[in-house]
Amino acid sequence: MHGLGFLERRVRKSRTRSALEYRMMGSRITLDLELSDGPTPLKEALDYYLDYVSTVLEKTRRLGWPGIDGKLEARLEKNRNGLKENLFTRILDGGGARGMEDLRALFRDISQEFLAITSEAMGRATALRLLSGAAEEARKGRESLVDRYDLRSILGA
Amino acid sequence: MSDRLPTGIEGFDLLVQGGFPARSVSLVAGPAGGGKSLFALHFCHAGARRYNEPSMYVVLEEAKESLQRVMQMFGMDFGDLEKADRFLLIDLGELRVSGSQGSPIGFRELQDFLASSLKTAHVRRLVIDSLSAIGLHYGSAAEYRERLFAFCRFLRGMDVTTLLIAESPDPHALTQFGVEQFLADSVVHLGLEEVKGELRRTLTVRKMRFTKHDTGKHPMHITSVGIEVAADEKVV
Repeated sequence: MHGLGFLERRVRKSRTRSALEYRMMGSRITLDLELSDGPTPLKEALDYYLDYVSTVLEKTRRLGWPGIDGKLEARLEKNRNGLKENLFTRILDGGGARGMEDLRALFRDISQEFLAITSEAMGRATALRLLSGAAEEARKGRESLVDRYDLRSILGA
Repeated sequence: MSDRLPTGIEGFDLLVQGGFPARSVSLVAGPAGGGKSLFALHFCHAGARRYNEPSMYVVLEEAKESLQRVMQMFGMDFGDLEKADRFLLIDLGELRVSGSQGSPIGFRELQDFLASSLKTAHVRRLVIDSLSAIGLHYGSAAEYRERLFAFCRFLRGMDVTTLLIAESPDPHALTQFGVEQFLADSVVHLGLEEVKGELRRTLTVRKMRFTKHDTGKHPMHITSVGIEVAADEKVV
């Protein structure tokens, strides 16, 4: 209706949300529409990161460097100050922005540790190529999710 | 490390005063199916098994599984050597397939990898299979030559003896870019010639610095135990 010229549109900003306010020309009727994103797809984002991790492990095994996959797996088992437990609680609660922040923080840490371990053994350029390849493979088929929530960039590679 | 590194192929070692010069960079060239990878596997196997010299075989093109089949076929048991970190079969082709840009690996990247890995694994014998795969990274022969030159210099600075494998694109060209043989310390050519409808394998040591080597073309055979070179026979 706005496109057809029946309604006048204005952006109304507040501290917690943005909304579009529509006014009928010369009328006193006001329409309020809230355009929210819906629940945060935390579980889907977690699936992406888990695929990334398993692809990294698979690639290091195929690469043939002895013992690296074991070192990487050991890093996955670290407690990380309860971040993992909090994360799963948030997933059960339906996600939310905070859950996504925790998830990204967790995998940023893991990825940086992966990079340090692989760089030490095989050089930074090869390590970056390996991690980058894994991130791209995991992204396949879920590009819109990964790009929309900027999941790839925190992997660093 | 001694001054000579035997390949374990007795006939060949007889031609070159016992083996490749230590810390040298050698080129093993020949057509597809000429036995280059098998030759290099002998070099690694002998080093790791008989001389306790950790060996690393870097695959850039051929599938790792294909090489493992070759090892099994010729009775080269690397299993215990791999467990003891005396033999490493590294598949960098895995990175080439799914790299950030899907691009082939170049000399700089390979050098970065080796600078870390050779020291970490105390590698004494190294095989790069093959230069042809790295060549895909470069747009011109001049750039390739420049990078290869720097790469060979880097290898000579490491405590490692290297075999670079290169595929001969046709019977008249030893290598793809025609520059590799000038930069390497040694050149071993594995030939595959058709004689009266049958393929005949040959081996010629074209060049080997610091060595009084045989220059004849010798018959080479691939048997159930791998490569055999007839050092006392020549192909005419």
